Amino acid sequence: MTTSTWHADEALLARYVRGDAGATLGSSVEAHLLRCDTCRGRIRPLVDPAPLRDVWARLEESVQAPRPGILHRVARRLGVADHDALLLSAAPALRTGWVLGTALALAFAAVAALGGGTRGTVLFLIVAPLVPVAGVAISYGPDVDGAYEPTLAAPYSSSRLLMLRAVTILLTSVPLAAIGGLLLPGSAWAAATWLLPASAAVALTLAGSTWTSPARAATVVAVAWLAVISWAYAPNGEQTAVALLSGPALPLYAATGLAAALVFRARSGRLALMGRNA
Amino acid sequence: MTARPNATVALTGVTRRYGSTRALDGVDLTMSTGVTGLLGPNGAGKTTLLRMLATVLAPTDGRLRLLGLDPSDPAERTDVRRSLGYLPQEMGFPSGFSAFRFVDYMAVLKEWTDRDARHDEVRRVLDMVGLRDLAAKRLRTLSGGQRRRAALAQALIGDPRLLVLDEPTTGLDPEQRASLRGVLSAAGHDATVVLATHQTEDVAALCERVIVVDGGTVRWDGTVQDLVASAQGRVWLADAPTPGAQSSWRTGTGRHRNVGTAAPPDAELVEPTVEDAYLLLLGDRAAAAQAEVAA
Repeated sequence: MTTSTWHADEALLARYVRGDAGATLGSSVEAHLLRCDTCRGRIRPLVDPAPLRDVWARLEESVQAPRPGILHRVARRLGVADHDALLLSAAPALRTGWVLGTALALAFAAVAALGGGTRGTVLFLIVAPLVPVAGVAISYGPDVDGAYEPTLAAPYSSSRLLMLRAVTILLTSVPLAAIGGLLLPGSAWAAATWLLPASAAVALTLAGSTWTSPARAATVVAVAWLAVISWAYAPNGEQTAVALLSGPALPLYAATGLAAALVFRARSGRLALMGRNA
Repeated sequence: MTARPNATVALTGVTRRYGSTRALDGVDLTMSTGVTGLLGPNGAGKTTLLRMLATVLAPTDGRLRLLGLDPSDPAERTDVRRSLGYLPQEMGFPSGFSAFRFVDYMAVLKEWTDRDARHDEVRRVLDMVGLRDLAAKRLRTLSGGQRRRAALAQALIGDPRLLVLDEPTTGLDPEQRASLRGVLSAAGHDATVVLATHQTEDVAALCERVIVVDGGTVRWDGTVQDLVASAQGRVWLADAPTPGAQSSWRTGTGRHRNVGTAAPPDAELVEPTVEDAYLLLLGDRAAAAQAEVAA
């Protein structure tokens, strides 16, 4: 709104913009500008718009660009590149629901183990490897990722993305399972030995996902794992099951995991297409 | 058909089978820059064709070349993907993401590693689809049309030379559709834009060329004007449905619009639309569908 008939002339406005109008004159011009449309219109061409655009861009950036989440920041601190940390934080498996579910499943198994002696320990060791397998199943693929198709059509390597997400699963589930393992009574080996079958199961799931979706591969691996355990459990009870989950069987898991990793490596190119028919 | 030297898309005898079903059956096509519309009933093979153009699906038989490259070779496929934008028919988003974060995420997958440049690009494409002011909103809180535009924004990242869009206007209101047409026709100056749609008005308003697919084969391939001209003299108004007309419906004015192979001698002929020509082209199939609705 224009309330006075006086207007600052071109020369005065130019001095004000340059910043050499002096303190008194400068604040009068400023006070006038706040009230006068005409002078605001005339000063516009005298002002360099670049710094203003810059300020606006910074403002927009701070409002729109999301603040990196905890995982994003942790990953960056661990040396993961900023853009990889962003991909990692989008994994469906990193939803609060998943982390909570993992914690619950393991807490349940650990509680059972505390109360159930050897049988409880066996139960924990059966459940723990299935947790990261389930995590991989809900990390990638047409069943769980709504943006699966455009993700596939992007130049970023699909096998790298799947691996990156599998790693995030291990980052969330391994510490939880390790805590659960430490709660087990009397069997220090149990705290760590589940890691080998778990790694083998994850590697098998990844290898299987070069044939079918990770969700289906994980189901097959989980069913196979449970079948082997039941088969071992039936005739001799806990002793055989414990043997399957400890010392003598451990090299077998290492070998299986390694073989599965090699298969995944050899076939990972097939992840680049839908239907796995490349 | 032999591939023209400037063709950006060339299919030769392309077939795609799912079990014993042939979703596409020996399709020959070439395309170059400009906007091409893909019409066809549900299940005609449009999505299968677009998935192949988007490099996510390989043909069972035949030869496919995109941007002069062979997508069956992994390295060349990645090169095609560097110049590709793809909007699938259905799309979900990572939970809890804002429009900005989603497009930012897709830009990372498209190898935009520099953060500042990437964020500028994200703002540019969100601006193109009219979502810049809603960029910070969670996608879950946006309307269906707004989510569709966020999905479209990711396809526009980096001004792709090949833009493959499966029903881009679904869920958009007329104003949004008009503004989208502006974006796509501008893209069609330098890029090859292929869009599948059920909206024949979009084809009429936007596409230089139209391809009609039915039963896995190409039923029509030519200019929109030629398709419309093929229905000349075969669309007429009457006070009642004309017996023998292929399709007939009562319009808002109370008169019946008839589409058929031959108008009666004294019929009041009207200018055909893309939709009329499309219905005539699909002929028996459309008639059967109408009989089914009536039954």
